[in-house]
Amino acid sequence: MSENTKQIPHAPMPTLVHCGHHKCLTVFVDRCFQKVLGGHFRNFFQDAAGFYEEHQRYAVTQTSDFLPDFSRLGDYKISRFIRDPRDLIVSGYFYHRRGTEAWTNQPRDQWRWQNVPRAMRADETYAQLLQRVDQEDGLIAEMEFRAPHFESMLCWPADDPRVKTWKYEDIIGREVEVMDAVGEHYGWPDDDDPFTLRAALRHFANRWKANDTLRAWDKHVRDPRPGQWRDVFTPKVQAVFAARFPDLIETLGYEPIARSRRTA
Amino acid sequence: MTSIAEVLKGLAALPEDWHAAGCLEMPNLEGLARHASTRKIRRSVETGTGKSTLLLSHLSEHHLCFSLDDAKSLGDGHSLERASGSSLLKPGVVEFVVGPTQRTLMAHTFSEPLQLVFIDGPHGYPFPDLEYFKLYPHLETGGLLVVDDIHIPTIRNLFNFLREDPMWCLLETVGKTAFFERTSAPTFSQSGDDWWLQPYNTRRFPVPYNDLNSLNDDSPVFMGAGETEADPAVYRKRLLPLLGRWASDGKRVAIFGTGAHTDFLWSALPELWRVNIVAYLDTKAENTGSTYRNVKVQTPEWTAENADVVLCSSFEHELTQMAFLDAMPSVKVVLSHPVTKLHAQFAAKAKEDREKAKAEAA
Repeated sequence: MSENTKQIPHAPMPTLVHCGHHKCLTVFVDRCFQKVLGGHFRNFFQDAAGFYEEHQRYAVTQTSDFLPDFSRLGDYKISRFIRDPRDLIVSGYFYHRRGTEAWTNQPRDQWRWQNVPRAMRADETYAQLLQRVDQEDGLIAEMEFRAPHFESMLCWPADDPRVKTWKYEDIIGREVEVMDAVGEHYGWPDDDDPFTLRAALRHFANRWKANDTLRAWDKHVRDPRPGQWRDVFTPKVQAVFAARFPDLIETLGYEPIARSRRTA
Repeated sequence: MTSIAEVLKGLAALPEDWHAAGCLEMPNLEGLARHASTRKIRRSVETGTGKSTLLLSHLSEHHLCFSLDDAKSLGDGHSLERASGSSLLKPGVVEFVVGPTQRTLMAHTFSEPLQLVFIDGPHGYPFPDLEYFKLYPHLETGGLLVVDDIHIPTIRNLFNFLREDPMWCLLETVGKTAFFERTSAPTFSQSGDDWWLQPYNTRRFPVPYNDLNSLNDDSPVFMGAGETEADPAVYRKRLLPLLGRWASDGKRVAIFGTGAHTDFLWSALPELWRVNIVAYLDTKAENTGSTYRNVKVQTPEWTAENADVVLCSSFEHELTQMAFLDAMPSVKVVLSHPVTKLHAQFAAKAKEDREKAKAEAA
């Protein structure tokens, strides 16, 4: 459509955004909204600039790993899924190590992220890095890669009623209920009609939820169980994490780091 | 001569249990007086008896009242006896026909046109419809049709039909009483079929019939008690089943209107995101080619080749919108909200124009 096309003014609807984090049900949410809204949904992933420029063209948008500038959203309703950052590290480490996503197979000179893990060599890809180093250093590399994401998690307002947060740990097993609550938070009415957005969201949440069937065929989901960091974090990983993100766990309301099984 | 105000005052002073089956309340009686006093009522008919009979005796030159002899049926003297013996009844105006209207009214022969008909007889199905059948051909253009007790489902059915029928223009409802004016639309034949000419049918046809064993009623829902036209719930009840069907059938939907009411429609029905909206329609040439909510604005004529359904979205301009689309039989036109008196007027006018054109062509 031409940029010169005149636009007839209309009452804006609330900007509806789902903000998540890589390895925190982003694919699940993406699939649900794609099915419910089709082309009226768009996942911008970590593309903040594209998001600000085009979010108004969609009914619902999805972003990952950054805190939106609320002042650029007009009236907004944001659903936010968070996960224990230590589990994000574990899940991300094993997933990126497999090189499933294209960017993990790009050499460092094509690396589009600012957060380059220190151990990453100039001629290797991120997947190669994680395959080359041992698990402990791989987890630390993943931690470094995700540092900006974790730092953004600290900046979210705690008292904005337009932002509603759900924890991954509370979502697993209650996907249908939670996605319905997301629809409710967006202001979507719930009538006794299967065509409602809420009913459709429940339907597809039930289809795509992280059950055994999903894990069997979906390579994206390795293991959705929460708390896996306890089995994987070594004292060194814990120490690096605690030094780098001293307030993160408490701010997000998760258990302190001292209870790792590896330290018991 | 007793003034209408004095009659109303006298009616207000009557005890609440004056009528065994319940009385018209004062706002309803005042509404009746308001509408009837602006017309010359030479002949009127009422089914049922009560305070309205007393009032109509002052508003009509000759009032025919079909009344059940409830002194017999209820075992004591009630409405008929009280009405006929009341000092508020204007002498020499009211003629009582005693007995069940299912028999008396059906057997009656009307030789003069009527200017007022008040349906307030037996409420069970199909009796209100029978009374309507007997009376509607005799009410002349501009005449008043009053239907009481529209809170009773059988009578609500009649009311829902009437409010969409070209012969009637809904003037207002006062509590449980509806006031319609007879339009100039031709009288619907009493001996033909012609169901396909009645908007109540054409707008709903075909009603789903595949799942009649379930209790789900898929037919559109009209405003009920406590609902207003600006109530999003009314829109949702009416439009959600339609949107679902359009989406599953892959219909190309154009929304007529780019104003505040379309904004309201979107806020009430975010499910519009699930429908294939191919355009917004606007009659203003300068708006063609512009965009509204990221979709191009087109002329109504554009829909003939490019849309399957047009959803008219405006309180004030739906008539104009429908007029633009009237010449496009391939496009199904749906109103976004329940039909009001304006639509009845429009339907009457459209039918009149069609018949005129047909006559000219012949």
